[in-house]
Amino acid sequence: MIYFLHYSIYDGVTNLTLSGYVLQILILGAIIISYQSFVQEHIQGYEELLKVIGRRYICNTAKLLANCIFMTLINALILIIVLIYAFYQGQPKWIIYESVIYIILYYYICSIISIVMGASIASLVKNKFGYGVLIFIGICIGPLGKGVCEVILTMLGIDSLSDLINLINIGQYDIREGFNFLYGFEIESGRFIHRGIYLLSILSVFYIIEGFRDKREKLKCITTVALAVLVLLPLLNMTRYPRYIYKPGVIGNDAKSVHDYMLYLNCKPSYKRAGFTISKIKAEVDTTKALEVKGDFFIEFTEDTKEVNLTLYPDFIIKEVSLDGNALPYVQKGDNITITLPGLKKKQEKICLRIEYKGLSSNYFFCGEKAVLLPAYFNWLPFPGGTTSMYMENSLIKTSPLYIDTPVSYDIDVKSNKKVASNLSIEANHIVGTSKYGISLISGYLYHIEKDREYFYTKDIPVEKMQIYTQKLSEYINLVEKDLGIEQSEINKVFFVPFKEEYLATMDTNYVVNSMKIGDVLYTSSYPDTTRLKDEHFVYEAIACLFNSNMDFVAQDLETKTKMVSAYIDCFITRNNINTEFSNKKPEDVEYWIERCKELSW
Amino acid sequence: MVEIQIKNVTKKYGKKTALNNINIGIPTGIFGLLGSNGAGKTTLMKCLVGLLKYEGQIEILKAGIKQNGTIKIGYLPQRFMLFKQLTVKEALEYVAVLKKVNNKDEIDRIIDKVNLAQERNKKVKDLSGGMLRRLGIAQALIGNPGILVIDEPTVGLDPKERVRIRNLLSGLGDEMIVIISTHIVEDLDAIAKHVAILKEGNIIEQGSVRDLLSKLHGKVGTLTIKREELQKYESGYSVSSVSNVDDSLLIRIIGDKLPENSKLEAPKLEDVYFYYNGVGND
Repeated sequence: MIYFLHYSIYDGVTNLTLSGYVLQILILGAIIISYQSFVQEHIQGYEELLKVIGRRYICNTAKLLANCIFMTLINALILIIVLIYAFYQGQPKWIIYESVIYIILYYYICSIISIVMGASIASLVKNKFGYGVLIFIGICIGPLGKGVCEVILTMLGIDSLSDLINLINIGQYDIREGFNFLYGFEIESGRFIHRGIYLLSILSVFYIIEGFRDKREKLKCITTVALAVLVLLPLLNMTRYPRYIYKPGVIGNDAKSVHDYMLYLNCKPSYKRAGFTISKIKAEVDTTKALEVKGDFFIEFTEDTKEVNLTLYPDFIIKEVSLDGNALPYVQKGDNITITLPGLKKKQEKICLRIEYKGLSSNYFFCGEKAVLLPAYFNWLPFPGGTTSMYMENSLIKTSPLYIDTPVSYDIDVKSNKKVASNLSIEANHIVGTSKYGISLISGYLYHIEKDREYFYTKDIPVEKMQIYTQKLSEYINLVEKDLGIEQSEINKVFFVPFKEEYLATMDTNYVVNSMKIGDVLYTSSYPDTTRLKDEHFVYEAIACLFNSNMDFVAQDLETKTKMVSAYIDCFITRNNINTEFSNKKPEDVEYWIERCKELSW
Repeated sequence: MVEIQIKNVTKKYGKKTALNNINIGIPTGIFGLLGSNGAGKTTLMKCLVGLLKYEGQIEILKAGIKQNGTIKIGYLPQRFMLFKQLTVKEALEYVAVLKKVNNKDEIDRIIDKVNLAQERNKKVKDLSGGMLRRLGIAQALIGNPGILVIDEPTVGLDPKERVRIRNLLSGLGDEMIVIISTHIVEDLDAIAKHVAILKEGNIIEQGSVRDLLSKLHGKVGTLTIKREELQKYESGYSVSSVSNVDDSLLIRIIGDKLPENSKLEAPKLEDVYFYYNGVGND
């Protein structure tokens, strides 16, 4: 176990989340130790004696406590090792703090659950099959079993049971990922609730079994059942906390549920221009538990219409749509909302719609691509027009960008437990400003520093490194902008924050795109280390930045985008005589694709 | 005076009847349950201590045995073991905690009583078979139970240890009801005041040892025979034992009818057992 722990965290305790083997060993170890101690009476032959003496409750409880103390010591050892590594690696305080919480949630509580699980199994199975049952259950509830079970269920075509697997699983959601430098580990309070209910339920099961075995003690039996019912009641209520269980789709689009896949299977990216513009959005946004928005949307009609079409990320649940205090009927289908107005609205008429909605638990909100609420890629505020922004591409759900061609005035109050940043100016969590690129909302473990520009970053990055990186990227962006004839804009804000690269345009290269420039804001998930400071890197990033900010480009199909970018990269590198080790499969008719690039509305 | 009344107790394991309408009155002193293997002794013991559910009634009439709704019973099961890694004293202290006995002097007293004083710091795993049985009796005595239920106390022990256990139990019979189940009649011969003989789940005889022995007066005899005559006697009579005497054999015969030339003997408990249970059943 210590070997696996070392193997996981030797280059960063943030990789604790990758230590599925450690947790699996802990679970199996705890379950076997507990089972052993509870079947000893049976094996060594004093089970009958203890039954006659009575007070099996005390005896069993003492054993549970003894096992728990043992596992507490093991976990304390793990904690000490992790703390030593963390201090040695010079991790920031918040990562050390979260690591401790992570160990408590994923290692310690899971060890205790396993102890009770082992005891319960010992109460039921005392023969030679006991160990088989132990290992089977130990793997099923562990992080490794989740993957295995899901594969088996998929092979058998009974995906519906995957919810059950997620319900009983106490390991990490995914042992290949989990820690996010903006969001931290997956340690929301809901997961504690899940584990707590889990533990109480298993404990109840154990005492019920023991209670019924002890036939003489009817009173205790009745008390146990009564207690168990009280404790098991929250279990029935578990459906109210699905997001705290590992429900498929909780983290990342690649884990979307089958249902979601079906929803977007036949979708193609499309854009229907709205017959109105949104001139101002005044909203209160609460991100403490889930993303909750209560907003007034000031609308000006550009044509006569009876309805308002908006595009909003589909996982939000609309609570209210009203006009002047009167509720309006609406239909929400996928990411489209159609609101029926009380009557025909004439061109240039203005209204203020009140829309309240809620969705995305905090872990979803802050994790992966959602960590950075990129203005064009994640419509957390309704965009005008009926746009199909979600669609399937190569079995992955993709998001097509949205853009607003008129500037919107924003007045947003954000309530958050963590630091909040935005592309617009922000003061005391109040965002005010006008933007024609939308508004981004970034929250989590953020550091902020102002040195010629505003830098927001998650990892402990020296400001000099960020300056050098930004300066060099900026120079190449200017070069490409000049080449493409784009109006040059200075970068004023830089976010070194994680976001999913797959959201950006795919290029047929081995190179992963990490950056995006929208207006005067640069978003990058690159870590500005020395390996990144090569010319070829900046060429790719600069081109990606600009192409991905071009809505005409992003609206193209995948093949077109690939050919355009590959042709442009080849042309640019050749023209500027830049050495590159990246392989770039340029199209045969480079000139044609270069022309297509120039035709985009830069 | 009957202190425990077993009334119409029947226990079935599926279709098999382990105990069939058992009625026994158990007085103070040592009570022996005799029977061959599989006769139902252990089942009856388990019913007595509440380990098994049964049909019928078991009434505890003796005063002072019930405490807070529970019966103070000391039990020594056939297969006895305590936590191997504990010492004798620790193991007994553990049982004392479970029995809510706080008096540490009582443990020392019991250790002395079962003659384990020298082994008090020895680990349970290092005890011999006889010591382990004595430890078993010691744990049963903790809490001063009114009833002591002991299942097969001397199985697998050497003769010296068997005598020691027998003497120990004999002393306990003066203080409480001691119910001993065994198929080794010798164990009860000298110490039991009352016995019940079980056969295939039924009580075939019960009563005081004295009464049972008196019933056998004139029904037990010995005879010296030639070796070649043994088969003839075995087929005609119940021969309970055969021993060599010079070139001849001395046989012990039990039955309502004895050979004419046999010498009448005073009956022993073993004879009672064989008389009712049949020779060769155990």
